[in-house]
Amino acid sequence: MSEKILRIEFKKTDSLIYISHLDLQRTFGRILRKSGIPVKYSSGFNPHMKLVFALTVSVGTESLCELCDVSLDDESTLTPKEAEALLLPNMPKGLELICCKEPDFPFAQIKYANYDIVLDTSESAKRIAEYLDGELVVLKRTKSGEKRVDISPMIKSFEVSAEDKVKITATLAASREEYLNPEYIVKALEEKIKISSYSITRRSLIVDKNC
Amino acid sequence: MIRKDIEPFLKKIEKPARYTGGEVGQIIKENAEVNVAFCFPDTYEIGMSNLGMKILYDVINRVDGVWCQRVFAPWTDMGKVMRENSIPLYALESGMAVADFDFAAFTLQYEGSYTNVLYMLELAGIPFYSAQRDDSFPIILGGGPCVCNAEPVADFFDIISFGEGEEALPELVKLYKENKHLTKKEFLKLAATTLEGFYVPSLYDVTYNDDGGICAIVPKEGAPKIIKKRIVEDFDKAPYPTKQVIPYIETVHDRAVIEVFRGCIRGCRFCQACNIYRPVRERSPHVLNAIAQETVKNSGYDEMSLSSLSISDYTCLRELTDSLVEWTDKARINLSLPSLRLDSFTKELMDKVMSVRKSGLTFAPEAGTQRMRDVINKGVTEEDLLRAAEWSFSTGRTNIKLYFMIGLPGETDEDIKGIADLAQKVVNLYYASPNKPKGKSVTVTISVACFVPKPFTPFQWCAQNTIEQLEEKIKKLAGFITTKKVNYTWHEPRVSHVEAILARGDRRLSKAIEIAYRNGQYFDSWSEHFSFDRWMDALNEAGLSGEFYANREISTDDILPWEHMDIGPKKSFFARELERAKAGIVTPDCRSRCAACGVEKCDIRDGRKGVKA
Repeated sequence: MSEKILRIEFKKTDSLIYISHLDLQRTFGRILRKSGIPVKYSSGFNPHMKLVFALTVSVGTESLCELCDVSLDDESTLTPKEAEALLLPNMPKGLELICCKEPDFPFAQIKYANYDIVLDTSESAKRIAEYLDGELVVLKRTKSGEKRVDISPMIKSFEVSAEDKVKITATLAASREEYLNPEYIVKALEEKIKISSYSITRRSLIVDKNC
Repeated sequence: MIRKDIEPFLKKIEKPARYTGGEVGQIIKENAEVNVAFCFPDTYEIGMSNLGMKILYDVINRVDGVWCQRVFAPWTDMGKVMRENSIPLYALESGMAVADFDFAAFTLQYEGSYTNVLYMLELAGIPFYSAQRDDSFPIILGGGPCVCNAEPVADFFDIISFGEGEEALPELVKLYKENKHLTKKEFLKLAATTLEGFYVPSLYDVTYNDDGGICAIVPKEGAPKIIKKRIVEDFDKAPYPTKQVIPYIETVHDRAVIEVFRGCIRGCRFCQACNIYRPVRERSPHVLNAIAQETVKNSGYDEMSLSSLSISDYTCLRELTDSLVEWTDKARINLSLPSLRLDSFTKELMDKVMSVRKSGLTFAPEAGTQRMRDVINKGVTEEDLLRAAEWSFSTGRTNIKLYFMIGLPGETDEDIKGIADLAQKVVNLYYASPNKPKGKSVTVTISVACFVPKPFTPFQWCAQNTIEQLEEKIKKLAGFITTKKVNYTWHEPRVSHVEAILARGDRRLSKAIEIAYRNGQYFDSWSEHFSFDRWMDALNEAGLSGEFYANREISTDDILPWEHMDIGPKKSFFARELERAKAGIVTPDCRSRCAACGVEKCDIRDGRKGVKA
């Protein structure tokens, strides 16, 4: 019998953008327990709730498209609508429930993510677009330590606009094989221009159902 | 609420969620008439684990028109950001600057946080000394276990809450609410003369003898000669914070904590907690069960610990754990029990509740020989320890941690060697044990602390060993250990020396604390921030001697710096216990025979509940 999975879509905003992925996992455990969702536990020495999050998000980055898959007890007959009703009163400010549903794609099919990167800088949008068009080398943490990497191949597309602040709208690699943390774009630009502050929002995910 | 001015820095500092507030369970009030900033002089993770703070946050916020908010010491990186950008110390709930509150209430949990009080005052833009502050500044209130001898920090505080705050603090803020027309000086006098358990240091003159000891502590303007510790009498009726602020980031104790009872029936002669939390008061099992269910339901925690000194002394432990296990197992709540004494019942209990997590066990024999354990009145025998170790090995555990103290009064080389011998016996026991886990080695960790004489203990008069003596003993003990199966760690004598100075200090020390802070000393309890030289320089500059406070034996006839504080157990009791210690005579626990410590409203002495037949 296949596992019963409940997919929870939610936003991570406000002060909650400053908690880490581990903090988020613990917080979700508490929310699920308070809500009385019949979550399945792993077997073994130290049983824990079976939760899988789609993509981690860095501390300080807002996200409007977080996904968490929760394995439900084998006997559970809980529907996504019922789950929503249970969860809603227990979601704190900063973790906003969008909906519960049955999984409509496996996380492995996530290919890209769309981000808004807003910069506080005196540099023009045009110059920033030029930088982003060229080679973008940055010191990146990899499995084998830190090295300088050109991240531009991982930027699928981008647009730069400017009102009072410069806004980069970018589609970045977000698959299991290739993942670009948007912080690296800011880091790469900081090697060229002065950025006094910035904010990042993950807006949506792009799924490739053919793989 | 996140203050706008800190937002640009949050991505650049460690653990930004320490500074944002907004946790589930935080209390927001509109139009409060009285604002209280509850200041914990250490990091968010430590402060948010403190049960006392949870209790007081709850009871103060239950008062109409009074809003209590939380403030913690910013870690060094955030402190730097705040200084460089003129961001004042603020409360997490509203972002309001601490300087704009009516009260800034500091809890003093350990001597190592005294410099952090000054750190927080400085970040708040508030002068250190009570005498320097006019009515535009908040009233600086102190409390917590360390204020049983508040003298070293007395000059920094306007008023001290002595003893348990559950009832005292609501009384104080209500009195303030009703008397906002008074000047600060008038209000402090009113509180000191009409409420029990409040100490206004400026209303007492302290004079000194030529030898440096105290000549007299003289109250003025009608302040009480003796300040009596406040206690909560009926523990079943005492409010309990079942709705708590739940931190998002991991704290030191990330679980529901249920306080089973207060006080301790054991009379270990070095132990301050045992004496300052007397009389023993228990909560009924059904009250505890209800509190536990509420707390878990409201928090979503998956772990719960029962809290008290020496939990095995709770008279209804079996009834309580039976009723808890009934629902915690089903709900997958891990139950943990700290500080157990190993007897047959606890073994059964531990099999029942601790089946999931097999962490190593810890025991605190405190001394290496039976003679020394009798001197300190630690009622544990070698047989007790070995029996517990044997059981521990039979459950598959291969790690045991033993806590000891060195530098205890009357200690000989034999007692130091006894520590190594005892550890060796545990190692031998492992290899002789038929039930030991196959093919695994054993690790016996001995953690050795240096004895620190503390106020309100029978050993309050005793001299601490000098740093050199302690260092020599630590080295000596290392020489007695002959096996690699024993892992030996010890506390830094220089840290313990400073702790003793601050613990037994008088009012003259505030100058030294100020100098130490100005020279960069803060976060003392974090070893990377502790500088012994800075402390010694500060004492020198203040014209004080560390040896005077730490290493001198005080006569029981002398006036102590904390002479005007009535903690419950009386000075005559401590003196009697000191004599018994010198004679190596054990004093039975309170339930076996009342030792006449002199504490009032004691259920055990008066034959009320909580007394074993």
